[in-house]
Amino acid sequence: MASVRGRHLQLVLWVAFAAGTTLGGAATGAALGVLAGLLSPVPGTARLVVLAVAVLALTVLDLVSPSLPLPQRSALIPQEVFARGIGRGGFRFGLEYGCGWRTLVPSAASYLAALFVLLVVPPWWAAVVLGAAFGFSRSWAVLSWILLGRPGWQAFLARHSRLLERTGSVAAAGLLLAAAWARLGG
Amino acid sequence: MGDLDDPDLPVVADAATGIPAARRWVADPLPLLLLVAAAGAFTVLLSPMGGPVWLVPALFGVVVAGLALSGST
Repeated sequence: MASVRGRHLQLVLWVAFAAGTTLGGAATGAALGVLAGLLSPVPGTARLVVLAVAVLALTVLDLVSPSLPLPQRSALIPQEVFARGIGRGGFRFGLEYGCGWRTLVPSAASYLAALFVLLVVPPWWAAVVLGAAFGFSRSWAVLSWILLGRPGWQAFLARHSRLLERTGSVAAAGLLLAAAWARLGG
Repeated sequence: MGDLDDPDLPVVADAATGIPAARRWVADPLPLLLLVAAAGAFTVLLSPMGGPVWLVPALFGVVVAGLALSGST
């Protein structure tokens, strides 16, 4: 993201960024919720089995692959989004970043979340809430950097980012499968 | 090397900045992810299965998924 000096200004930028990531995630959640409606005629047990197989396969793929070999856009969000001001730029950057598919997706965890919404067929409002929560959580690392970061924060994170991505996939798989079982199999 | 205020300063400067590893982990997304995942697992263990409670572990799951992508921030 853009380099901004001064904690107050950074926090202002983060608020705009977090609003964008939350809205971007909510938009993706809403779209997935609509698509999930197409799968609603499929029996819940069948959807649960497909979800479990897909979640396990994607998690194993993430664990054994040096980098995630799944379809994703490799294009970065251009810094030109900040041309119209830091607040609007932060919001737009967050919107694109929080939607979950606009730029690099280095972990299977986001695919698992998308599959969960598609196959569990939640109520529309729950799909939006889940998407918004996903988007909002994408802004937390930036807040952590602003409040607690020290010089070299990003380089330190880069040294174990694959561990972060894989741990996230395993944890998300467990939690989402438990949630799916509670909704469809419990 | 660059200014020590530079957030993108290479990690090779760790020794120069004198920032201990423990302080690094406090600001890192990985412990936060583990904390959220543990809280989610705790709710799964405590909640009765079935009914509307499915949304709680699902929320923890999507938050973990979002945090897992923090390396590309």
